[in-house]
Parts: sequence; structure tokens; C-alpha cells
Amino acid sequence: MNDDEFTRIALKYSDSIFRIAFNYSRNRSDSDDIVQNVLLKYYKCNKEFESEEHIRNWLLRVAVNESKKLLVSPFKKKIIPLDEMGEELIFEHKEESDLYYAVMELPSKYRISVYMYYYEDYSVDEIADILKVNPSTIRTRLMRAREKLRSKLQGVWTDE
Amino acid sequence: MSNKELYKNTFSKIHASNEKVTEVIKMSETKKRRKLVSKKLVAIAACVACVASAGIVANAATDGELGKTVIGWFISPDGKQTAIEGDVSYDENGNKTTTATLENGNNLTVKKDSQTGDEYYEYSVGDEESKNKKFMISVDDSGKATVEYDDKYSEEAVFGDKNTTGDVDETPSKNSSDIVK
Repeated sequence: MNDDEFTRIALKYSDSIFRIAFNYSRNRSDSDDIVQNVLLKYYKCNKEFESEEHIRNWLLRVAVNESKKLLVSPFKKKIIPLDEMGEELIFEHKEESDLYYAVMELPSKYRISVYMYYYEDYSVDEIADILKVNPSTIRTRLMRAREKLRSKLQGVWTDE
Repeated sequence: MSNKELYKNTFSKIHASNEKVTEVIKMSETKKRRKLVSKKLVAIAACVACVASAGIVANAATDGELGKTVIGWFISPDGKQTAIEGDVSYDENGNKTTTATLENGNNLTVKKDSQTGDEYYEYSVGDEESKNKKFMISVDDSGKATVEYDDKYSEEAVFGDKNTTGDVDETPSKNSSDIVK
């Protein structure tokens, strides 16, 4: 992999990695650290990737693993991450702001499934593969997350 | 607007810090450059007397083929780096010798024992007056090399952070601590 290729990958996927980390940690600084760790792992991995999609899946899976690692650290268990990000973001519509805070209040396992499904456009099976859980678990998580969002957001989050 | 569109519009506003991403890109570029220049940093030498204000970073890139190979760099006070090229030869036992003639006319030789893999360094001077003088190079853990000359003259060559030729992660070989005349 040459420098240009690494730069291209870093720029293309850093936001996705960050969003995954942020969905777990709800903390900007931890998420930035995870972005750096994941990109460095990619740089050092010397792995032969079959396709762009393979790279993307690998990066997001590593991002999930790194985020989980952070969450189980004894230090992290003792502190409640502050959601300072919401104050930095400028939403064009109230619905967006409401959705953001409603999603951030979901349990992290719901948040990550929702993100993978609604933002990254992964199927249930693909999410299950990345998160290493059963597809039925992902279906349940998505269903419960939707119920919570529907009840919290009323008309904003519609039935599907 | 569908749930998916609303979700994407909302979360597309979340971005990684540009600064952190740039940092990691720069980090990778630096690592690659260092790898190219310094395959295996095993030695450091400094030029005494004749190159009074310049240090040399000696890199025993001695795994190359016969012929010229870069074994180190002069680093002038303004940071300019000049490669020191050495001639590579092998004896009948497979021991490798790399000799470079420095800008000041002195020779820096790296000998590698084919059996043990140990490397030895010799610094020889051309002028009659200096011929019998003993040079010693010591390398501390921070990578700073000090050249002593007849117990009265010394000069330091620093590699790592002050230039890009050395890999700061690697501690120079302790074999480089003894230099004979």
C-alpha cells in the first residue's frame, strides 16, 4: 500500500470509523483516539484485501472491536461520558436534533445496530457478521430501538 | 422524509477531527520514509576534528549487494543531509566489509561477521598525525552518540528526532560502542 492509497482510505473512512466509535462511547476524544488506532492498524496490517468493500468491512469491524475494548476498560466503567457533541452540532431541523438525542439515549448495543442499518446501509446479516452476533439478535435490537424511537419521537420516527 | 433519510441527515453532521486524521496520515508517511532510508539502524558514528560542526549518522545498510551502498549521512548544522556511500565487499568466509571514504578523507568501515552477525566499526584517518589516535564511539539509550578522540576531543551526533534518517524506535546496536584507531 502506498502513501496515496493510505491517505485515500483514511480520508474516505475516518468519518464512518468515528461515528461507530461515537455510537459506542458518546465521547469525541475517545472516538478520535479510536479513529487513529484503527487507521494505524490498517496501515500495519499487511493484509491482502479483495475489494473496497472488504476494506470497509474490515475497518468497521476493527472500529467495533476497538470501541468495545474501550468500553470494558475499568476506567471507562467508572465514568459517564459527557455528550458534549450535541452542543457542537448544528442541526437544520428540530427533527434532526430530536432524533440525535433520542438515539444517544438508546443503549449502545441498539445505537450501533441502528447506525449500521440506517447509515451504513448494511443488511441484518451483514451487521450480525460484523458484530459477531446472531442475525435474530440484530433483528430484535432494531425492533426495540425502533419502538423506543417511535415512542420518544412521536410523529418524527414513522412506522416502516 | 423516510426514517433512513432523517437518520442520515442527522448523523452526517458528525465528523472525525481533521487534525487527528491528518496526524495519523503524517505519522504513516514519516514511518515509511524512515523505513526506506534506514532499513536497519545498527550503528552511529561521528566525524571528529575535520567535520567539526557536523554529525554523521551511520546506518549499516549492509544487507545490500556488492557495490556502493549508503552507510550513513552527514548532517550539517543547517539540517542538510549528504549520503555517505560505501563500497561493499566479501571475503572468502562470507564476512562483509563496507568502507566509505568520508568528505574529510577519513574512512569509516563496517565489518559484519558472517557467523555471528556481529558488526564492528572502524574509523581510520588519513593524515599521519592522527593515525595513531584512538576514536571511541559510545551510544546511549536515547540514541545520542559521542565520539571521543584521544580523551580530549569529543563531539556528539544525534539521530532520531533531529533528522529523518534514523528510526527513533530503534536503539542502536551496542556493538557500535568500540571503535579502534
